[in-house]
Amino acid sequence: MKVQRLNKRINQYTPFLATWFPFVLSAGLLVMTAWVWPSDEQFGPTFLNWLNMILFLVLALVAFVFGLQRMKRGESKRAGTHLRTKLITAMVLMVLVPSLVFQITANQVIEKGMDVWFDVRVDTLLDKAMKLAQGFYAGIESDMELSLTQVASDNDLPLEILSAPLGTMMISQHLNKLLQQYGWHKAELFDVSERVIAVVQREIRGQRLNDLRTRPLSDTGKLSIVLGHQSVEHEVRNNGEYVVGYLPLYNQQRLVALLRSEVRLPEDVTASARSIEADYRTYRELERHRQGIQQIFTHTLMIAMILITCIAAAIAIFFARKLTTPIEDLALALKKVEKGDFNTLVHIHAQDELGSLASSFNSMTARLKQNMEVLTQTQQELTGALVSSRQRQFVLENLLANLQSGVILLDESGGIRLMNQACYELLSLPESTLKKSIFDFSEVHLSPMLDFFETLQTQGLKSLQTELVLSHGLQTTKILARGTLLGEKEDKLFSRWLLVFDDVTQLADAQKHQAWSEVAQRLAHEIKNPLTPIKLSTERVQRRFRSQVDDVEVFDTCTYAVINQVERLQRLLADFSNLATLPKPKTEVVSIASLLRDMRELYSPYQNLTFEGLPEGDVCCDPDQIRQVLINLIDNALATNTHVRVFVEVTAKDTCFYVQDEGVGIDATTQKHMFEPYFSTKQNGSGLGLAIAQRITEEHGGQLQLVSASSPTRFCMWLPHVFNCRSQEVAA
Amino acid sequence: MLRFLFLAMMVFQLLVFGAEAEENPLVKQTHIHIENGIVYCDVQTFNQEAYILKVLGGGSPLTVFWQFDVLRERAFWSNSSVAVVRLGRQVIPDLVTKRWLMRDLSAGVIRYTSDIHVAMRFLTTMNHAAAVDVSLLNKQEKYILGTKLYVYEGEWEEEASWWTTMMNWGEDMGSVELIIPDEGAAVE
Repeated sequence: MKVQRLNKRINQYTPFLATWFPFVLSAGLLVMTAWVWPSDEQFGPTFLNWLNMILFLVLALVAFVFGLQRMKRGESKRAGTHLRTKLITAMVLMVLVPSLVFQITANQVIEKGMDVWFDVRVDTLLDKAMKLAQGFYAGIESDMELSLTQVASDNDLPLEILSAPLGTMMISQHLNKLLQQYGWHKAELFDVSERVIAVVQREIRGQRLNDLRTRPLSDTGKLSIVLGHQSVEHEVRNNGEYVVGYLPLYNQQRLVALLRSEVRLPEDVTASARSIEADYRTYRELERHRQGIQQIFTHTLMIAMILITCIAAAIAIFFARKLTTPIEDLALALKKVEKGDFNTLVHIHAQDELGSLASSFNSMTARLKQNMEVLTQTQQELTGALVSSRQRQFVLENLLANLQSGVILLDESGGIRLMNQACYELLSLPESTLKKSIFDFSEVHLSPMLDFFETLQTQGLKSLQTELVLSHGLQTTKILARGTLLGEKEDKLFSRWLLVFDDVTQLADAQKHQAWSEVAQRLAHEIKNPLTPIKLSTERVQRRFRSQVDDVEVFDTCTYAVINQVERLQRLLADFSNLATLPKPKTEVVSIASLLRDMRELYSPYQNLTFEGLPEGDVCCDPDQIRQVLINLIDNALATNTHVRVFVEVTAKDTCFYVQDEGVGIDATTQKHMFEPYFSTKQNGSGLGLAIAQRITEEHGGQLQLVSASSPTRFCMWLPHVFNCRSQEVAA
Repeated sequence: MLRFLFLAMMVFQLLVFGAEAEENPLVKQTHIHIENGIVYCDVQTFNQEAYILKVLGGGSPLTVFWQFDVLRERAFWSNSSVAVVRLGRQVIPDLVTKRWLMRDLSAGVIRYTSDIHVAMRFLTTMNHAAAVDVSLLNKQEKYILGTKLYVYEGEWEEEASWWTTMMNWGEDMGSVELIIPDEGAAVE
């Protein structure tokens, strides 16, 4: 869990590190530059400081520029950058951390070493050695001063110098005596003019001839003459170190001569003393620059660490690039593939795991491309099929919508999958009715349909055709129903049954009319011809034999009866003929008011007949035929001997002529057959009145209906406004 | 980018040098006077005394150079150099005899002293140093006399010290204004 959390944290901060790490590194390196800046107190040359400083500065600059370039190029968002950053960071840290640990440890070791090196005991020892050497030199000088003081108190030497002539051995003997007495190596006497008066010298090992030469007076000697007091100085010559003493010799306050005495210091002692001095100086220098020395080690190690880290970083960058470049290529290729470019191929850098991955990617892309091509082709085919299917569906739907036949598609259980608009109209169902199954056709007038389907279903017929009569209210519709079994039983996806309904009412009526017309024409042809001779013969018989018969009354009755029946038969045949050969209506625009006015005048003698209102408007019809219809309706109504009302309703689409009586009403049987020819409830009726009236109305595109069977009985003649009007056509 | 880099470097330099200047406050005193047509300079540093005493007491030689730069002040350009005088002094300790050899590198005069403080003052004080001849300067014109002190520890050799000379930028001992009046008196 901790490792996962750590990884999560690392992944979370990797983009931040990848962006800002170069700048943080640059800042750190600048701080390091300030730290290694050489100080004035530093020991020795500050070359290492400068080198370190320059290295840090250059690295800081490189890191800064690198960071800026990365930021400018937005490289942190590039694929593989995070992995590369992680790799480089890890590899650099792998080198940097041990180097830092080594650096810290080495610093500690150096510091401890310094403490040991500059130990107090060493310091004390050197001080003591130095004091010893200084004491030796000081002792020699002190001895010299003491001896000179003693010589100064001796007045013999000045007197001898004054009294003894130059070149005598007296002065030399005196000097030799002093040489022996004080252990000098050389004694010289100079007069006031700094000329040598006498020289006494002891033999020294390794002395050369040149060393016997008298050296000129030094500044100290001259100063001693001027100041008039003795002085001691230390001289370092080529052949050794000497302590030289100067003593002005006076006689009665007058300078007589200057004595210069020399003591040559032992070589081994001076060498040791100088060695001590050199060591002391070196030690003090080191002590003074102890921190500097430590810094030299530190900087040397630091340079090594920087160089190692730089080399490690370079190697890390090299390997990280080598490792991440294929991954970066893969990531870029994946992005291209994600965008739909399946032509992307990854270069295989090496035959290793990454190469295998790249190879797999290439083959995967190729397969993807192939699959995509297949998919695209399939999609195109499907799209084409769908379009074709939609077109077919569209055509089918339009076909079904515009089809006059009602179509119902049923599944196995009788569920309705499709029912077109014509079906609703045929079955007199409101459009809002929602039928899910054919068994939902619970309406009484639809029971024949249900029976038809049950017959088709239960008997297992592949197809069935029958004629159904649907009675809805006063309207009776003849339906030609055809049922067909579709597909197999197991195939539930498709419809099982197809029911097609056609309204054949008009066709049946037309056939019936046609049959009746043929019968009428034949009857008229067969009967009408003999009737005229019968009537003529009967009238001739009546005129010729009336006077010859015994019972004239009976004779007249019989002959009149024959003549009347013949006339009735002739009228009947005329009606037959009219029904059979009803002419096409000669339509014209007729005022409704004029029509009613004519009818009112015709029936003016009838007190029980009222025409209500004279509505404005026109109707397109054959006025003679429409009058015939109205006459038939009014005659039937007047036959009830009740009050008869005639009124008209004009709407935007049609005109309805109502004829109403207050008779007993019309029973169901009469309702069923009253529009059929030769059906009459009257004894003398031909039964053709309503049939002719209905046919005339239908010829006008209208409809004659019994709108109220019970009292008051009401017939309605409905005529459309849009019926083709010949007068309008002529006018147009 | 370059502007940002330059700004960063300037801030860095200010931080570093500011901190250094604060650590080593400069104590110095410079005076000039004119004698016989020569501008002389008296200068002394105090903040090097402890260091010099320590070095000399430790037996290490010390060499100092006093550099006097006479600059003509210019308004819109860097000051032009009129004369540069460099005077050197050296002290070589002899610990076993407790003497310090004082050498004037300019004059070649050598002197011993047994007092370390004398040797120290020999290095830290430069009195009556001839900086420039008045004839080189225009009257009533403003000049700046700047003084720098270069301190070299150890044996100092003229020819082999190019690296040391290059790396030692010297310590600024201050500067004084120099205007030669018509009468020839110095005005600071």
